[in-house]
Amino acid sequence: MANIELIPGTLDMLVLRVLNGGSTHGWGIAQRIGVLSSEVLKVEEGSLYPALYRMEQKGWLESEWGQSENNRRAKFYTLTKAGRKQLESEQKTWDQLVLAIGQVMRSS
Amino acid sequence: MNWLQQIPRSIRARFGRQKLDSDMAEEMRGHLERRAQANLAAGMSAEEARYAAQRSFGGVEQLKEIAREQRAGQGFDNVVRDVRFAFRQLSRSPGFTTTTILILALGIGGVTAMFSTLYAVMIRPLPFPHAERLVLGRATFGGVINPMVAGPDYFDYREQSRSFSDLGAFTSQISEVSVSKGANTERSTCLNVTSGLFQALGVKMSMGRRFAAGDDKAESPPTAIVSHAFWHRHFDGENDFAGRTITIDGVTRAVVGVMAPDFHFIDQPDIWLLSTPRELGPRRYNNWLVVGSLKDGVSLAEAQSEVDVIAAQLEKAYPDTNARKALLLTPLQSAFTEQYRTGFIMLCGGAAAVLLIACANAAGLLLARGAGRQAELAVRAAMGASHWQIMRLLLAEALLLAAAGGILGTVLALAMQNGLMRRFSVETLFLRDVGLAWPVLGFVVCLTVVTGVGFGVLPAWRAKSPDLADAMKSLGRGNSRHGSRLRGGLVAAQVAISFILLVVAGLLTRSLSSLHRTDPGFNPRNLLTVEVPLPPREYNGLQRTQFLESLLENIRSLPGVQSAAAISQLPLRNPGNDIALYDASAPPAAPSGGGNGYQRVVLPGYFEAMRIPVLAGRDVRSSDTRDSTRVVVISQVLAEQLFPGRDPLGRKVIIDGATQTPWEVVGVVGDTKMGDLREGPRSRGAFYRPHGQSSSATMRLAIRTAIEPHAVVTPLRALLQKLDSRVPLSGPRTMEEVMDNATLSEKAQTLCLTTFSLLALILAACLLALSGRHTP
Repeated sequence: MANIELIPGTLDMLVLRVLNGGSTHGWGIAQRIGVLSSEVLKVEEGSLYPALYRMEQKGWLESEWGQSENNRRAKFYTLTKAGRKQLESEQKTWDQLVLAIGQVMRSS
Repeated sequence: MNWLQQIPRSIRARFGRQKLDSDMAEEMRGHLERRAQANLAAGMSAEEARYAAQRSFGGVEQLKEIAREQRAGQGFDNVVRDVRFAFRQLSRSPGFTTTTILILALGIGGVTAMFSTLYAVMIRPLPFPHAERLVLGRATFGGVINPMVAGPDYFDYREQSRSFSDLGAFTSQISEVSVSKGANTERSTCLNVTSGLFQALGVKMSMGRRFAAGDDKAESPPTAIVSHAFWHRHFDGENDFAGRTITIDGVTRAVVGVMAPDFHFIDQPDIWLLSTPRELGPRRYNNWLVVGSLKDGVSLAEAQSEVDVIAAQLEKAYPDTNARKALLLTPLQSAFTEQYRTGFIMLCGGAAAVLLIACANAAGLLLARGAGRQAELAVRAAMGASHWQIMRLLLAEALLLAAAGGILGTVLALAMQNGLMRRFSVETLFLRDVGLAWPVLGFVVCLTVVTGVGFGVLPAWRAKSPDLADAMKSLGRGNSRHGSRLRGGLVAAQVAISFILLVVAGLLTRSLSSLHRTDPGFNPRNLLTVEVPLPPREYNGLQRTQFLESLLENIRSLPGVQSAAAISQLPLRNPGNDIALYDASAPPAAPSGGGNGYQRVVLPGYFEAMRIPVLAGRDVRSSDTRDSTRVVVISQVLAEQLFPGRDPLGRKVIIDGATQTPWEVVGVVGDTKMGDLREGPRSRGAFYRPHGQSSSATMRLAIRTAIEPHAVVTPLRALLQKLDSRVPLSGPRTMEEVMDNATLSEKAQTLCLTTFSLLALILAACLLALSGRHTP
């Protein structure tokens, strides 16, 4: 399947969702998004890091240097309580959006 | 997320910026390496793999910049950078910077000092609980403020009125007393008060109690309250004061309380003596000021109308003394500040004008600087600086200038304030310190910031759509028609304001110099004045006269002394004590129909020493004693008032209605300003009685010298010590000092306003010179 570019503004939500499953590093996040979307969604790798810093600064994420699975130093990101809350609210908005757009598109 | 969490992060972002940058770089490098490895595994060559990784990742430096901008503390970083840059820019033109800061500081300092003083004196509530309910009661005669009230009248008001929760009274002048401590005596100051005064003021005692209503009963023992400092001095600060007594002028009094150390009211005496109704003197002596505290819910008007009713009753009951007499109630604060009000408001106006000029001046400087920088700004804009960035830069410069001006101005204000208070001699109010009026300072600083920002940013506004070519063309010429018109307006406004200030200052100087030229009726040159209070127990009337006569005789033979005289109250230095008197042959129909004059007691030689002309008849003589005819010397105004068109010599007057002894007029002398230099020429006259016929315990000496008057003080002290070591000598001052002091307020006003107008003029000249340079 061809790659689809992310809908603007959804990157944060996806990152939060991935980290909800456990802490990981930038590379890992990009990989997980790819895997979970069956390689449909392609994260622009460069833009991931500014997003991570921004989210960390907003208090949604915490970071810590650690050892990656290939024995390299890597920064691990973890969801904070505020991040979990943010995820919930974004999830809710997203669900409503999808539902609403779906209704509009399927109407005859 | 709450803001608290943000703080450590932004601090970290600020101070650990390099650490964060290197973290970021490491993290991205790690990612790139993994991508390259993945590419390698997918079968690319090593080089290809690295390029592909970089391609898909994007520019690391760009990403870092984006991340940095998003990071917390970025705004702060920018501010620091802007301020640092502005600082560099300003220090590059030190002339402009110093001038602007100084101008702003002068404006801010002047206004803040003036308004803070105004606020402290007139607006800030007096330091008493319920200060807003305190009123001052002053006697009026036929509507003219006296202001002293007769003691018995005060007691009648206190008994009959229902409007006050407390009504107290105090004598207006502090007096000196001798306090015995063992074998020694100590000179101390005291103020006579009635019970009710401290209650009305709500004063707290640091020990003991206030005077109670029962303390002034005839059968109660005499009482006193001492100041905190006096307690420490006299009783060595012991904490137990039950049963303590103090012997004042030979009378032993019980000490009922020690005043709180921060109490400050009119004067700072050592001792407050409780006066009983007996001691308040007859109804015709007006020696008291009344202070009352209005009851809750009683308005000033209600209290005044009640007091008016009582005054009318008193007038009916005592027509001799209370005809047309009333009590005027005024809020305490405004009563005590009314004499300063005009001067203060005028000076505040002057200071405000200087501030306006300073702002206009700073604006002019900033505009001129801005005009000179059009080219620089245009270049900055062309190099890619956004409009907002340029604005921010100029804003930072303007704010920096305003802040520096504000700080320096505050320092100036603090320095000026105490001087102002001293010069205006307003220390007799209830104030200890002025303190900065923060609202005033805030307002002034805001004003300067607005000025600075407004005029500092104007050039940037004009550079908004910079015509680079035009701007470059004007490079080095640095002007714009718009700017010069604005500056021209500023200069015109400034010159106008300075001119107005100068005119007012000129008028003030004129009235001051005319006050200085006022002839007091005597010659104040080389005239030393001192006070010699004779201990009342040790001397009776005759002994006093003898002592004073021999003292004067001895003083006259001191080297450098030309003449010496003694009087009960010196002109200008000791005002007050005016009494009714009338022609004995024609008692007035109405009780208040006669004349009124300042009563003085003199020893022979007073008029000669003071250079007061004897116009008819003679001076008093030492042969005028209790055994001879009662004689009096009257001043010219009084002679015309009592005996219009007739020769006063040999005529008899009745002094003070109560005693019917006639006094024969033996001389007429020139008039002098008795109470105040500002007295009109036709105001109250004076009459002089010989000491031999009506002795007075405290006498003042006037010594005419051929040398510097203060040089006589030491031999004088030695002389007094030799004659009677118990007699103190107090308050040596020359008459010229007394007169200087009397015009202190006027002098201070003139000085301030002249300074203001000079400043204004200098500032205007600065701007004029400056604008001339920039508009060829």
